[in-house]
Amino acid sequence: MLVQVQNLHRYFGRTKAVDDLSFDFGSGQIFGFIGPNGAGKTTTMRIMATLDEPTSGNIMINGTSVTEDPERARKLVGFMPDTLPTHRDITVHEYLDFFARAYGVRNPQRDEVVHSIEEFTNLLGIKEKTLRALSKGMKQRVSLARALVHDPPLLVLDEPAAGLDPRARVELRELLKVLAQRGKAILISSHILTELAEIVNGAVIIEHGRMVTAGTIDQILAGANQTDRALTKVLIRPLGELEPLHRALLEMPHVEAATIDGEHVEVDLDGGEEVACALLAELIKREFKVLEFKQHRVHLEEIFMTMTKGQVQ
Amino acid sequence: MKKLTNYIDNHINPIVVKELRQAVNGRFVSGVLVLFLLISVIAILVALAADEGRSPEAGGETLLLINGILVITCLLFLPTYAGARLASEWSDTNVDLLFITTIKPRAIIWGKVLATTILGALIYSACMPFMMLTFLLRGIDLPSILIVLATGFLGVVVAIQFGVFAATISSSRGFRSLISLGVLAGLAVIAFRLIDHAIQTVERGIGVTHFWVQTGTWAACVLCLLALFNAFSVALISPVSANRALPVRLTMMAVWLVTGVLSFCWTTTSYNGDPILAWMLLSCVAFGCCTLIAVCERESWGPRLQRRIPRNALGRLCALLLYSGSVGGLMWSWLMAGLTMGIGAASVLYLGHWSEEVHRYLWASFGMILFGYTYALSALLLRKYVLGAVIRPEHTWSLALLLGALGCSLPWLLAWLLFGRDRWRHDEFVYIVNPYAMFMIPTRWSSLVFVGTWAGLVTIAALPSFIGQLRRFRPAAPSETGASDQTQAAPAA
Repeated sequence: MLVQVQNLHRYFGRTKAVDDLSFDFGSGQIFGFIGPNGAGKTTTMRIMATLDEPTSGNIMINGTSVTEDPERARKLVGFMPDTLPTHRDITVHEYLDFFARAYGVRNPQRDEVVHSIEEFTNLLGIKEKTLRALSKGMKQRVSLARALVHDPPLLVLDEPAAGLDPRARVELRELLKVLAQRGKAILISSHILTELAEIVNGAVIIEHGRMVTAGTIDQILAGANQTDRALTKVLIRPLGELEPLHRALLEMPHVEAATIDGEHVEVDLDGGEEVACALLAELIKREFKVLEFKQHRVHLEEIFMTMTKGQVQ
Repeated sequence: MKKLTNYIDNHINPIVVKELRQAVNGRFVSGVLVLFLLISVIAILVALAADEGRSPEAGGETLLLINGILVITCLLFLPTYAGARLASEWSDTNVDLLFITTIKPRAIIWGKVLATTILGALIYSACMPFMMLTFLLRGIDLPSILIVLATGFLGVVVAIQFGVFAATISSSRGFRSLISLGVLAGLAVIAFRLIDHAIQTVERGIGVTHFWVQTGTWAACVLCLLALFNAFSVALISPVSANRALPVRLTMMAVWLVTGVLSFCWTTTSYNGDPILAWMLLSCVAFGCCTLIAVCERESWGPRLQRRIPRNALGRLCALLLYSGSVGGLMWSWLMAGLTMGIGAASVLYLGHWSEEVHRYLWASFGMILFGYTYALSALLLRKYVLGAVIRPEHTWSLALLLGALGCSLPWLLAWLLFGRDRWRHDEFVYIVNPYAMFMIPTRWSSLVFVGTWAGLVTIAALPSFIGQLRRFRPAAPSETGASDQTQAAPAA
């Protein structure tokens, strides 16, 4: 299962919502789709879900073109839009049963499929409740269940964690991890980058409809490090005074900079993990009592802020 | 038995299942049903109490009373219910939920219509015992009661389709209100016709001359309306990338053919050419309106449509006429109008009803398509070169209507300013760009020459765009499809 976004363009009049976007991801991967508001994320996702047509370019889902064969592509995509289910006077079970019917899931399998989806998304307890009686978190879960009802190999989730409380977010995260383990390819957009960083294997960052960077998280981090900052940053917390350690660090090789930050000394090294290990060994050799020594990883949020200007179209 | 229930369950339209479940879960439908039953009971009791068994027409009168309540209730409640349900799911914020599945737009529209029709049947079946009861009174027979019920129900089904059509129009609230007013006017006409038909049936019975011909024609017209508005609704909810024009044009052609055959039959039995002439004029008005829609359509074709364009020349020409696209739409409208006038004139000549009246109808029919085309094309050019930033392509028709309204009213204003009270003597000037001129011999030629010249000029101005569209209307290059085929083959390998 491979999803390939190929030179995708989508223009609305003179506005370039998506401008030459290309990336790919596959089975078992959770791929983050990151960009400021109006960057073209939802447009790309709508094209992927066959709800919109690109001006040029294509998206291939396991070899099926969303522009040339949208009917077939729809069977491969489970789309969870950023809007919640609004159908009134219908229970959770009836809602899922309706979508199973709409996707052509036939009885006697349909009852089993709907039951297993309700079980997986933990909806069994509320399956007889009407949609209007549900909280936002519950509705999000119903929306995810709806996207899963025809067992698509690709899930496209547009801001699934927006407005959820911390518990619901953790539950959603766990569900997505299980789905990825089951071999689903997942494209997920979110503004909560700290959440996203914990589950995604890769990401694509876009701004003004153009791709800023794409790849696995390690590739993106490496790319960010090469361009903007020292290769490795470590935080050291000694037992006792910070000042002697700070002075000593400034005289050591490979140390580009050292600053006192609260209880820690923050050190920029011009090398990789080997250099960090050597530094720790040197400190112990010089009999500094090190309570904590940790590598400070650059967060997705920092990369995003560095690489984008946060401007909308 | 289990297999049979599974088969039915698997083949029933999912929208019907969902809608009926929602109707059962909600209190609105059951509330209306109970209220309706109460009104029917009260009405029949009041009618019986007032009559005291004296009137020989008590049965007919009570039937008309209950039928009136039934028709008005159903025409008000059911289209509103169907329209509101679809509109709530077919909004800008929630447009996708139905359309991300593999369910087809036609199934969505039929599902909505069918589900509401079942509710209508529920209301009718609740009412039937009361209506049948009127047979026990005097002045009505069973076949008449059944005819009144059947025609009423048919009218209600069309009204439901009207409601669904109004809900599919994705536009501003103001415009939707305007459309709703139009639908309301349509419903009022249907209600009036149904009640009138019921009165005629009760008063004259079903054995009267031409009863079946009139009822049959009415039923055929209603079914044609149902088919047309169904096709319009399907086109409106289909994705922009789909060939929205195809079902509309095919349905219009089918309706055109059916009504043509019916009017021919009417002409042969009524011994005058009026039915065919009316068909010819109304068809040309419809095709004139189609030119307004054509100029709102696309001027280039996406990969989804391109891959379906035939490679041979004849197939491509047919596809051009039936695919979404402004040049194809205009050509199709002209072709259909030409065919209509040709067939209409030939039929009248063949049946021996040729007269001066036929000339008048022919010119009027030609005028309808010519005026429609001229205003539509002028609007297209105006939108393209002047008002592109203000008016979106899909709203070009409103600009054409505005131009038409100006064409009909501005000369009157100018004539009043220039000639004052003598303006009545300057009909040629007043009606110069008014389609009504085609009905009047003194104004016809000046108007034809003026609008004909105008049409020629706008055609010349639009010619580069038309040629561009004709060039772009080609199937996807073999390499493009080849690429996708190769990619498709890769995972399997």
